[in-house]
Amino acid sequence: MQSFFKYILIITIFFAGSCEKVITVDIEDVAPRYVIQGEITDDSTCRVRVSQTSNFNDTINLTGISGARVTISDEGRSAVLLSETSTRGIYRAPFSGKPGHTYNLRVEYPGTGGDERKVFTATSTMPQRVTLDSLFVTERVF
Amino acid sequence: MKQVVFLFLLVLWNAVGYGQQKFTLSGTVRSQRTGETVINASIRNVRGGEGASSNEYGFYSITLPAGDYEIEYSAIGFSTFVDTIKLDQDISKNILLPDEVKDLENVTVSASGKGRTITGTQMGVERLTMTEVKSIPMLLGERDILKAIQLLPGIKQAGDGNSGFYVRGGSADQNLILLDEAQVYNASHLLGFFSTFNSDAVKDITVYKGGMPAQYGGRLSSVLDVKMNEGNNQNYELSGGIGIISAKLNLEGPIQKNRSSFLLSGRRTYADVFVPLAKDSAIRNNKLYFYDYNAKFNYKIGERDNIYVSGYFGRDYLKFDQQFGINWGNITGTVRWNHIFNNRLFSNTSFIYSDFDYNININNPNNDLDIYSKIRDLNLKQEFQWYAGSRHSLRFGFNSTYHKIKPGDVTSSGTASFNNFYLQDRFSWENALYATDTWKAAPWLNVTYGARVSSFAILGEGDFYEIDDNGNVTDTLHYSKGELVKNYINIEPRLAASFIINQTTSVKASYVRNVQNLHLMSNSTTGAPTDKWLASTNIIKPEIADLVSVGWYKNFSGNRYEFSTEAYYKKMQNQIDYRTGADVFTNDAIESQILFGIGRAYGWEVFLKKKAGKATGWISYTLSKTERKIDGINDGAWYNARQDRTHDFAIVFNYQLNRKWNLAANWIYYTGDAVTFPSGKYIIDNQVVFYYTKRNADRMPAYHRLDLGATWLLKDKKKFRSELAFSIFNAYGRENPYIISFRQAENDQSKTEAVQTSLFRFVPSISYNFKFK
Repeated sequence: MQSFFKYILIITIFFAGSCEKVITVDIEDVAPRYVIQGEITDDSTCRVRVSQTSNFNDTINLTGISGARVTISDEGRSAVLLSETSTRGIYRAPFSGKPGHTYNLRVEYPGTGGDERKVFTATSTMPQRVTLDSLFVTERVF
Repeated sequence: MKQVVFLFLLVLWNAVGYGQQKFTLSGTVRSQRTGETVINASIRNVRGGEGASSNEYGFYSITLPAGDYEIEYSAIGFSTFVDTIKLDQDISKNILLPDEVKDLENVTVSASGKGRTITGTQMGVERLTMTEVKSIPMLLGERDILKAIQLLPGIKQAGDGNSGFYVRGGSADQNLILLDEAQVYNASHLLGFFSTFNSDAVKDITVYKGGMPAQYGGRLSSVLDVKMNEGNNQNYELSGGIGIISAKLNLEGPIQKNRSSFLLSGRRTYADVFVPLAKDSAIRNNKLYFYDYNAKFNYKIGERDNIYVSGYFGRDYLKFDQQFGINWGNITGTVRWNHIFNNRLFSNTSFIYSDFDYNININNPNNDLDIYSKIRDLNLKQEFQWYAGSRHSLRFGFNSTYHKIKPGDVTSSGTASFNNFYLQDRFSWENALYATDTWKAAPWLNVTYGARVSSFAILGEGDFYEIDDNGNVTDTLHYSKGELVKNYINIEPRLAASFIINQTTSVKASYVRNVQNLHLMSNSTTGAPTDKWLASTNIIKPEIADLVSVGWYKNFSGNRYEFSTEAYYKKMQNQIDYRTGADVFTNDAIESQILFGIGRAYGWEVFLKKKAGKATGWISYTLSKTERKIDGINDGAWYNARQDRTHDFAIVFNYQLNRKWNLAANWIYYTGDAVTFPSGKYIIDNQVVFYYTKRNADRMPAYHRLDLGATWLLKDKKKFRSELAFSIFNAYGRENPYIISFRQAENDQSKTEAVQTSLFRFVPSISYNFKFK
């Protein structure tokens, strides 16, 4: 659908002639929030990135957050600890997921200086591989 | 409910027969020149002051005690006619009103005495004459009734060059748009830059912003009732116009003089005609045009019966190279039969067909797909108007509509990366029964009271869902063909009163409840054709609005000036908004993507109009607030509705310089729309993603614009008339924001910038209009 609106815009511009300019909008700063992205595959990728949001008007913060304790557990089995890599905020472990298993992610940020301690958890199930058993076409008339 | 109606009729019956012997004067008011019926003509007893007005088919009926009378017939655009009548029996008298004498010296005089009816109970109503519409300068010179009504108080344009409109805090889908009684589901051409109404074919435009009479229902915020010309039954007329992007032609005339006539009107834009001349092949392969036709035919069977057949057909085509195409259009058809039972009872039966569909094709190398959606109505209406006596006039009837909605079929060839899918067709049967009485309770008090009972039956075949609080489908219920899923019955009271303080001053108050069972899911603000209509389901409840308004009306300087001010408060239930991150286009259980809550809107409107003299025009101002409160959005706190606008101001000015030249200007200003800007950003998969907090807490920059126009009358002979019209849209080139988008700065990818796209600066136009008569 997004491409649809892109076309609409292009056609409108073609039709009407338009002008584009960079403006400043008044956007208030908000308190930063943690952003955590985790990824497990069945061919030994197990990677978690911990970062924070940036204010709209600031330069985007590319560096992640170090010093978090990141663990992944597979349905009751003991948790695997992910160790921080040389890239700040990226945590990895030599670990492969299995289809149908449910994984729990836990990220604990100990809190340094004035920051308070924070714990984030999330759960996700790796879907089964899909095999097609049939394919068909239907016709409908309004 | 039957008992209520019966009681209501009984009360009236009592009120009818009393006093000295009375007789009824009735008939039809028509234009002498064209034979067209005159809507809303005033019929007045000169000495006593009792009055009536002609209905939408020109029929009038007035009951007075036996005696000798001078009866004055008047209407806007016509010369007044005074008739002497000896009323000693019921009299049937058809009236032919001559056109107003268009003598400049006389303009001041002839317009007086035709003040709007200060005494009527109807409030929140705006009526524009086609002369007014034609003198307002418009984008690309295309006269447009939807753009003209947006200059009235309480009615706001939905965006730059947009024919969508918001009335008193209602969204664009809460307007009932009728063309000869048929619902028009998408009233815009070319993505909203033009409306579907060809001003040459239109006879009358009435907008109800509040106090809707009981015969109208089905939308929360307003009724726009557009009536087509019937066609001249005296002489043939051929008129037309050629502008920079469109041309139109209108032919009308008698089939049998005085008895039957026809009208054919067509319009086409031809911006695309020049496209193949472009050197750039990317432009050469583009397509962009629309056309529409209006046709009407009417036949007078005898003194008591009239048949009207009218239709509209319009279609838009838009194609961008080989990659993308969309076409959409409305078809409406209306067959009506008027029957005058006797001098007090008028009946109209209508059979109406309405259809809207769109088709989108996308041809990417990896993905080609076709999206098709449609809504179709079949509608039967029966109405009686009973002029029960000198103090009561009644309207009652029913309306039965069968809706069929195809929300979307998405098909693609084998190369696409996804499967075909079909959203389920939805079926519903909407019925309404209404009755209303206009009662002259006292010389200083008129009251209109009535009610509309509406029922909306949702029918199978189809799957309906149960949804939990998080939007997950917990159960699917299958209904077979024709099986009743749910029936919503609502009683909509309608009440209005006017207190007449003196001949030129009145105070009015009204309360109405409106119920809406068809809802528009829109992903944009521009009235895109892809907006999707949805009927109520077991989960989507009917939207309900209660509107209270009060107003003060004053005519002064011999009715040359009209002043009015109205205040309103509207409470809305079962309002719909999206969940954060909703996908409404590919989801069958659409209920899982939306949330429900309440809304409120309140405002104050001021309107001053100068109707006569060399300089005419109006000033309108609205101060308003519109908010919503929905659990799950904005932490359950009140937030601005998209259409919330604090200030809205318009000034419309017209000056008749001399016989040849007419000058026009209008200026508008409004507070920017309420929108949601990102408040932060983060990175996922090396892509910048925005983080949003409060909904609609930000504002677009304010919108303002000046348009100028001039009309040069070239020839005005008995058989031929021609003129040239010039206009400049956005004369001082204000860059009004159409879209504000956010992107990474080109020279520094780590910075984000806001980019404003604006359309239409200094758009000049010239058009030539002619008429053979």
